[in-house]
Amino acid sequence: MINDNDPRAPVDQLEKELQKLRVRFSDKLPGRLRELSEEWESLQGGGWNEDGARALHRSVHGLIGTAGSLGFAQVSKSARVVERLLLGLLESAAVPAAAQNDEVHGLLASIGEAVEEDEKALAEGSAAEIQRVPAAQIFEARNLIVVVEREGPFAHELALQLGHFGFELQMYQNLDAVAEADFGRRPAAVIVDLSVPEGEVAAVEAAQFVRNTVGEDVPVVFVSNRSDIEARLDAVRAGCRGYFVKPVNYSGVLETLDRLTRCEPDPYRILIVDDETETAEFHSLSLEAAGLETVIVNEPLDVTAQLVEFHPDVILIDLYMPGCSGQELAKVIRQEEAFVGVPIVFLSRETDRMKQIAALGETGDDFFTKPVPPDELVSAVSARAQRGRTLRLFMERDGLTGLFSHSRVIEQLEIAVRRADRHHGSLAVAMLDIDGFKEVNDSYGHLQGDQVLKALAYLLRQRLRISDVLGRYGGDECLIVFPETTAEAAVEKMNDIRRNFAAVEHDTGDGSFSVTVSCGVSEFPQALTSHELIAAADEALYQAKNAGRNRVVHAGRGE
Amino acid sequence: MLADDEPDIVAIARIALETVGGYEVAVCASGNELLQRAPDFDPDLIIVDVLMPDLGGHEVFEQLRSLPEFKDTPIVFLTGLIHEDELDVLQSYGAADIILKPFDPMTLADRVAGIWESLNDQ
Repeated sequence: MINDNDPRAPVDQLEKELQKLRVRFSDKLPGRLRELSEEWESLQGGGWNEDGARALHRSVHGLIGTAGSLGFAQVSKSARVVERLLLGLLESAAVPAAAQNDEVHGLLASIGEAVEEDEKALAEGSAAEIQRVPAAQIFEARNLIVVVEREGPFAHELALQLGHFGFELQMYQNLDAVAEADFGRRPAAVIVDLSVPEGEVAAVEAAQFVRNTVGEDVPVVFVSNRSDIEARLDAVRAGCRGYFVKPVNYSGVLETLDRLTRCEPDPYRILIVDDETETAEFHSLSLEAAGLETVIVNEPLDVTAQLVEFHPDVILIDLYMPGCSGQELAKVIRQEEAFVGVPIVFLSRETDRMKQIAALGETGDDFFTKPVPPDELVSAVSARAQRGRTLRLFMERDGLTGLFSHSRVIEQLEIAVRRADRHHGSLAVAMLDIDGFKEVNDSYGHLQGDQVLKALAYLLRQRLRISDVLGRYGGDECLIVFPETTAEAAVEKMNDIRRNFAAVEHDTGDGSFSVTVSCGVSEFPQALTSHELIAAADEALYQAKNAGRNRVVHAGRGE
Repeated sequence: MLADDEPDIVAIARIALETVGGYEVAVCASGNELLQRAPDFDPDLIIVDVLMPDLGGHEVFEQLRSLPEFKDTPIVFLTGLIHEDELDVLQSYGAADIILKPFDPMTLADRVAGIWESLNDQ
């Protein structure tokens, strides 16, 4: 039955079997709902008894699990509402009021209505999903997080929450178990619970142990009962990359893991503007030996083209060049709004500090006397580049989600369109919107709404490539630019994200809810300009919403 | 070996574990049935639903643990989570893992494989 040559065969086989079960489930659902209705009816008018109510609860509860596992998300959700109501009655030992009678019948009817919506979504999703990469491949790409914790609730809850965001957790009872473990691949981070029943494990020793057994440079995150400053200091001294006090805030852990496991996007890019070819070469070699990327421009007037193409993190400019001085060039660069924040460092043979400072004027950030010794150059330039990137992050990114701001994502799209045009490459654009976001805000408050947005942002960042540009377009709309990608591939990716996001449970403190997304995808050169691409993706998104939400629509092709 | 009173869940889980995971699966419709059949089937891992009419997952767990041949067999709870603190309670039993319903049939076998691996690692 299982074909070893085709890793997808078992997945396809399972999908076929599930399809049969779905058909059977939806055929039987009306009868099942009728039975539930009757059971409820028999509990009315003096017939209320706890055993009967418990049996009814079990039936409804079973429906939640079955429907959800088969992909009938709305049915599962509606049944969950009935379950809550029944549990409320059971816990308060109250006999249901007449008004609740109507409510339950109404809710049961809504379960029946939800099945149609689910069937539509399943029909749309299944064709695309059968062609998806096999599950095993997705797992291989997941970041492995090792959790060392004696008692499980924290680890289990964490595994549940993080699973949706592309992390895989392996749990160990203690550090000795970690030493003997074969993880299969290098863990992206290790989380150690310092609070064990016998007391507190010393942070320094735990960190050292992990470094010796797992790997020298594996980031370590601590969880502890202690919130005092000494404990935190110890953890910092032990070189930990995160410290969480119990009860742990899961979104905080998620944020830290996300930061730790995201690959460094790319090496710092340094633009060297110097008419002395040999000095420029010397500086370039020093920086490249340390892993930085460089481009040399010998002619000051050629700088503008490189600014746009190369997007430097730091610009090194020789102060004295024929035709245009370093200061003049710096002023020209600063006139471009996009380059206001790029650090500019002047180079010259000038050794008089006062003259150097005078030369900095309003445009330069620092002054080096050349030739700059390699070590000094690398550390000074790297520090500038890093600060520059952090600053740019704050300037360009949306404070809530950490995604590119509206104007920046449009700018990035324009760059991508120019590139695709020049290289005759492909380019896809996706517009993504949370379904019923207003209702989330209305029902659970804006803070909760913000949490949903954050969760979506994390998931997107986890699942998209580094080269994909991700920005917040408006309220709850995200714009994603996929360079070198066909619309088909982008649709597949977005469907994957859509499914994963729907599975995320958003915790409200006294319950949880889940939210779906809709998405429209457009493609270059079917749409030629950034404006047309956005309009086409927006139109496709509109179609997705109209067709019942929770789906991805390919512009011009329908679902 | 798997016990759940919900026939559809049993069917989904069995197909998922057999096709994708390649496991041999025995299914039971109740906790009592599982207890009766377990000695013959001699499972390597047991998945048991928490909320069942005759015998809840907790009781099945305790009865299995009291039998010498199932003293160390990994037991996984399957639950639709009714109460917030249920996870903590289930955890206190020392189950090998807890799988929440609804689950994703596509990844169930991987999930079970993961439980196995982490047990073998310890």
